[in-house]
Amino acid sequence: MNKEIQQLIANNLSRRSFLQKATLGIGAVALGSLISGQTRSSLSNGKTIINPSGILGAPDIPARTKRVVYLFQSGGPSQFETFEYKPLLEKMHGQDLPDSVRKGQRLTGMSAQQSALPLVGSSFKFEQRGKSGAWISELMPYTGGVADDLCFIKSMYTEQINHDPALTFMQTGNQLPGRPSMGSWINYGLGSDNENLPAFIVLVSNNAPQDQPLYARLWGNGFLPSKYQGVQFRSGADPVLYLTDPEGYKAVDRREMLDALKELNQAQLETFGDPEINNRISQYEMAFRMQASVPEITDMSGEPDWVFDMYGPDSRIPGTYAANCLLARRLLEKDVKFVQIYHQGWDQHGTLPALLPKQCKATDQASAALVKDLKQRGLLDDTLVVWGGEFGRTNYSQGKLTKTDYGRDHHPRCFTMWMAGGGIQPGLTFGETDEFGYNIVKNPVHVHDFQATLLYLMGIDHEKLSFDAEGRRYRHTDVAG
Amino acid sequence: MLLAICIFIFIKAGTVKKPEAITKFDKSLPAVIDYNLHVKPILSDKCFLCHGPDKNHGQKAGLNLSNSDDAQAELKDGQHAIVPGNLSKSELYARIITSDQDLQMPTKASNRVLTDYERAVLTKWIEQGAVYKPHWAFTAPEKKNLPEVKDKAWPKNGIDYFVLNKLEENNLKPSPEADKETLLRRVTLDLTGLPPTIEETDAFLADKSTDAYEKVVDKLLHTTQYAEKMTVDWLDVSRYADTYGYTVDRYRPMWPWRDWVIKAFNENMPFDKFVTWQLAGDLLPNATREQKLATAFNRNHAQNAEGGIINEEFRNEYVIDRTSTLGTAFLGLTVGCARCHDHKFDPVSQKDFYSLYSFFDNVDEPGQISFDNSTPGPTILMTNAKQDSIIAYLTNKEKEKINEEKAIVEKEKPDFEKWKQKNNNAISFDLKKGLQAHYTFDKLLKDSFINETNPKIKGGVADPVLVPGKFGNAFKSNGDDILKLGKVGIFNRFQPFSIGVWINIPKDINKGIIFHKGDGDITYGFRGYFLRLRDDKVEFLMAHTWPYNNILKVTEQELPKEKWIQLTLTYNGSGKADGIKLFVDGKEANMITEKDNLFKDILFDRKDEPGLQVGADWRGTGFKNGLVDDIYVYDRELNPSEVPLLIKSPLSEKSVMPDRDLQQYYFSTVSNSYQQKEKELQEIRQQRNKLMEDIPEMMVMEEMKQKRQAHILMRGAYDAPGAEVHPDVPSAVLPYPANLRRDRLGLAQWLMNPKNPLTARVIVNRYWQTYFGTGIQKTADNFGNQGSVPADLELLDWLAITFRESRWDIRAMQKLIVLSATYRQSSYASPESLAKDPDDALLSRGPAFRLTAEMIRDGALKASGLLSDSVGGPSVKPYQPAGLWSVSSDAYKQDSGANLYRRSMYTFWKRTNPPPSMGTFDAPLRASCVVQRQKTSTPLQSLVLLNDPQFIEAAKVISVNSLKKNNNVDDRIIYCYRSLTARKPSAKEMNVLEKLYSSQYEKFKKEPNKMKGWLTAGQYKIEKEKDLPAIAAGAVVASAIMNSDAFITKR
Repeated sequence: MNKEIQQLIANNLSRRSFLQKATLGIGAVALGSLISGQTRSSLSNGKTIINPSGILGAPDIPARTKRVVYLFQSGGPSQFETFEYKPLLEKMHGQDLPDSVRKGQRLTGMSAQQSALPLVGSSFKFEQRGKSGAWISELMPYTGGVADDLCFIKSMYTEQINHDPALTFMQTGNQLPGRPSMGSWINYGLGSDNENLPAFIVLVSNNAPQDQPLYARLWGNGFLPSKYQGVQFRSGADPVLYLTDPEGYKAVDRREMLDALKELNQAQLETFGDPEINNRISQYEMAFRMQASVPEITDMSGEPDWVFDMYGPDSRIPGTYAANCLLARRLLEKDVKFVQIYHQGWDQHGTLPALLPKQCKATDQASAALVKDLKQRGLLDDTLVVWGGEFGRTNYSQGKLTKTDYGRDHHPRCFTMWMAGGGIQPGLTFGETDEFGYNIVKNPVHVHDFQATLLYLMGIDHEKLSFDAEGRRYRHTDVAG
Repeated sequence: MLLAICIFIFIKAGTVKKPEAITKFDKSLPAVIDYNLHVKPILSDKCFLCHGPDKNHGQKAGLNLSNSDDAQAELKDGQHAIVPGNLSKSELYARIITSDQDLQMPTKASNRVLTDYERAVLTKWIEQGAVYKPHWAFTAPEKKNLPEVKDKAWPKNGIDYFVLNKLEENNLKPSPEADKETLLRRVTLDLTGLPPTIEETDAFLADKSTDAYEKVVDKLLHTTQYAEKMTVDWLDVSRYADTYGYTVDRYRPMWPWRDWVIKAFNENMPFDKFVTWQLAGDLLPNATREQKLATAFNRNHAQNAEGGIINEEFRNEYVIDRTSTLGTAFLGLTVGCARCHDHKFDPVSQKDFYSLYSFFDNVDEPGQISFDNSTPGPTILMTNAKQDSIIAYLTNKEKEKINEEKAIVEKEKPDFEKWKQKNNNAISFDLKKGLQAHYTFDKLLKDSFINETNPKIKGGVADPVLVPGKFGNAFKSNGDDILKLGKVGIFNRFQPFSIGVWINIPKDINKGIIFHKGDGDITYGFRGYFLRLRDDKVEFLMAHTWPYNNILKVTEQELPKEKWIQLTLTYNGSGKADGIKLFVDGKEANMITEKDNLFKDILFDRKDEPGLQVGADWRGTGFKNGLVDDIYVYDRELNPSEVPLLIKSPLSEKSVMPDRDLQQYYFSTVSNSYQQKEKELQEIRQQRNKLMEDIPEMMVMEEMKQKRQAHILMRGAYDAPGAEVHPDVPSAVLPYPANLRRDRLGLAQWLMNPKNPLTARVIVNRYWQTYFGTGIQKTADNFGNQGSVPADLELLDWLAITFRESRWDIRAMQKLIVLSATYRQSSYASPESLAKDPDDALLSRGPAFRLTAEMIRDGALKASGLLSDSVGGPSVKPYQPAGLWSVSSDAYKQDSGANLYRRSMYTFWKRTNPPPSMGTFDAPLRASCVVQRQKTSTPLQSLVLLNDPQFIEAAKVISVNSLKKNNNVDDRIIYCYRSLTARKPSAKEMNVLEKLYSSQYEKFKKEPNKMKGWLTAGQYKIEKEKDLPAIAAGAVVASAIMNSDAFITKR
């Protein structure tokens, strides 16, 4: 961490100040040991854990939320055209970013050589929404409609300035590949509340530009056992890879075959006495249950029209962001612990005024609908909704600033996310950036703070959930090295 | 006597009343507490983080508990953490025993609280004198005599004496030998990765000779499939993949290296040679191409092409990756932990890490790999024999032509002298000749500049600014907008050309691009050429890719500011640095050649080939506020005497010339025979250029001549260099012998040094792990303080030394292990054996564990007879669900024919989206060196085996084959069962399968639509007239077997 960030943190109470201020009624943070030494050591060396309920016993931090849906806006959405209202940028439109603001901080190789860094104001209008009066742009009208349910964090910051490392950092707590993703950690810690569905499910929009790319490792288990990996649900005939039986072969037929298989395995168990065979038998039973439960939950034809209307017309087209949000609600209803949605295409280095509205249009209504829908079903109280990307964008234009066009480069020093439900204070704006929207001036939230908060709300102390790998203990919010 | 009294007093003073929490273990504690076995695991896990080897951050209160001297030293407050034999004076004891939370160690917040048992161990250890011992893994192995055993009949080789000795100590008996079918399957899978065929099983069952097993082992060890199996394990270690990784995850052909590995195992290359070639093949005397190819091992890491990254940041990651890989693969140490700080647990300082790093740092490689598809250097050309001979022929021809030109110069000297006199040492140049473009920048026509030589070609820039120039107006660059001059200046590497330009450099810049022909900034793997200011000097780059494959020259002189200067670049088309000249105000500038290594073309060879551009480049540093006037582009090399003519305007055309220039002019313009030769030379060069473009390159290691100085990087950050470091190794392992070279070759020799305590142990332990599921030392990736203690150090050492003394004979080591009685035991776990030896740590029974991802798929393919037996070559793309690659805007183009049925080690490995079924069965990510795979059991695995078309097709084909060979149902079932599991089914299993078969058969007869999927899966077509319900029912039966433990698990 650089000095400046350290300073920023030092000025605050502690990293957990964010928890105390932004979460509902949390008093002193309980730090009791969640994992007994014995449990931990029995987990070492990559041994399989058969207990499906996760490695943590009853958490002694009270869990504020039971489930998470993380609406990941991949590419780095511009805060300046969405939730970060900076009238000064409009005033100073076209003028160079003052050195006194930039202070020689690192830029990407894409704009570092630019001879001018012209400030650029939003080309979209802002207005205050809801009782909380949050400033929200005209590109996010529906999100504005639920503003009072949201908590905006204006002071997120990351250490990574390029997509791959920043995405990986946001999802795993480390910038290099190889660590478990957030959903995997939670799955590992808390197990599953549903015997018929995976605890960690991933949905990727099919109506987004595929730039920048995503990688399967973003929902990978890293060094955790592979049972904790995220399972991608895809639109189409095979919602989970290899879920569908051979054409014409029905569940009742499969059952017959699996019954025979069970007998074969039991015979093998008698011969070899290996308890692992029992485990294998139960995995086949889980697979069979998934074959029934997954098509059932992904078949949304039973949803009433008003629900589709709420999520928007795209929600009738499987695989779109809107359809995925609706599907997420159905999964959360079934107590799936962690639903990760990805929507790509937020990387507007150029042509921002033309491209960004498309991104917002594809996501705004459904994101808001999900919050509303969860709320009216009484699920929002113990479901956490998270919206955000891997970093923010610059207040200056990358490439040529013209009357109608500009772009914005990556900006790790501040960006905006919002959270709702599950123990989060609604209608709050947390943290603040300077008038230029370049540096944080109040309550900085490091990516690790955010991850710690999320775990905390799930009842997990981020310093206690660890796994032995490569000769040391790793945790989600690991310090580097 | 005096000494004895002192000790007595010591002990006396040390008597304290211990709490019951500790005394309750008095009886159960070992009689002698051993530092390595009992104490260090506790200290390392619970104490070293704050009081360990990390002298910068990990020695709170100045206390280091990792060695005797520091642990007994006086602390700041006058206390001593440990006073041997004296509990009351040992602060450590007080701190672990106290219930005062302010004093208790480790602190409660650390989550490293001691158990009472651990407290008791530490207490007794201090009482017994707190004797430290060196870490077992850092002491060279010793070959001890084979231990005595009671049951002399059981051991078959040295291994068994060690194992039996331990079993007897624990009152256990070894299990009987596995039955022949089970044993054959086990050893065939272990040695070849494939199950035996029914014929092989029958032959083995029929062979009643006493050495039947050994004969089979010998046969297996000499198959290519053995070499392939050994390679599979090495691919994990080497983080092999078919793409670059990171965001722009393009294809890269590293498979020739994989082929080399297979070949090495096939030839049973000794392990020391195998490693030396891979680490340092390029440094061997007169290194062959094969030896260089082997070094691709060090380039198997991922590489980043993402726009906007910092080149040095990622170059640094690659060096760190190589260093960490060396640590894990050969030393079994997590040296990577010392990247940011001294190792918290092991004696590897940050300086040690960067000293190791410096062995791998001296490579002329990019951190940001090219946007175009050029292979990141250093590379070798992967020519075939035919290409080799053509290249040799052309190179020869080229030399010939050059010599012939020289001969012409000699022969025609009199003619030249005559001509010279006739012209009075002066000639008229035709400055229009070869003039491709001339831009004056005097005026704009419809927002464009016009090429005076061809008005159809225009130059354009956003917001053009004209200011008074050298002649008329000049173009003023804003440093960001690129002035594109159209399709001019497009030359390949063997085409001569010249470019002249007037510039005026503003006061406040000392770098910036003047003109370029390419796609953007240098960090995007620049291809083409550019002229730019660098620290007030001018550099000219002509590149296939940066930083390896190019020519780079820079002027010695600095250029003046705020003054019009004329620069002319001339190039003779030779592809060499000495063919490039730069003239400043008509005078040739002295230049330093920084690189002269251009061996591929400088054109992209694509439709939208960019032309000459001025003033700025994409994402690079522009010529901000610089002025540019009169640009001339020639498709020929200007004569040095011609260059000054460009300075004057309008162009004057007559000049008195020195002899050298006159001669150049004469032969290039007047002499017909010379011009003819020059044309022939051109043709040959162009042929060579064309040929070279089609030759793939391979990333390898190569030392830079100008050595890069390595530094400690503070906090591991690329931009925070600390003290200089030089190639060295962690001395706690083995100090670097003075006679070894300080390079990768020396490093390889250090690894193989008989005194090196780690290499041989680490390798034999991994071999052991492949056969038994876990190594003798359980944490195969960590032999450091945090690693486990070997189950039998003497056995490990005996194997390590046996291996080394066999001259690192890899095949012999595999044979030794599989011939042991230990390996041959039945894996049946009786309740008694499960109770006494639950994890089989004592090896009281044979190994049993789930097959690897590769073995499962390959086993199904082999059983069905579909498996292709071709070896090596590029990776293939078998069945994969559609759309998986679309998240990275890529499309998976499935292969057809035999490529669907290659061994899984040849399946295309895309780093960002690896083959899904492989990951489901715990194949690692190939992101970093991995030496241990997990063996999990998940519902997703069940789904793969049930429904992946690869497996359904295999089941179908097994069923078809069973019909071909057998008439009755029972025989068919037995055939399916044996081909998949290599054993006959029991009566009970037969019963289950018969029932399943007949129910499925009846079902499919009655409802034929139910069997559709079973018959159509995969590419394999069934002949129409066949009994389809019988095939489908057989497929269901084969699939059930394939999903059963008898197939999935090695027993």
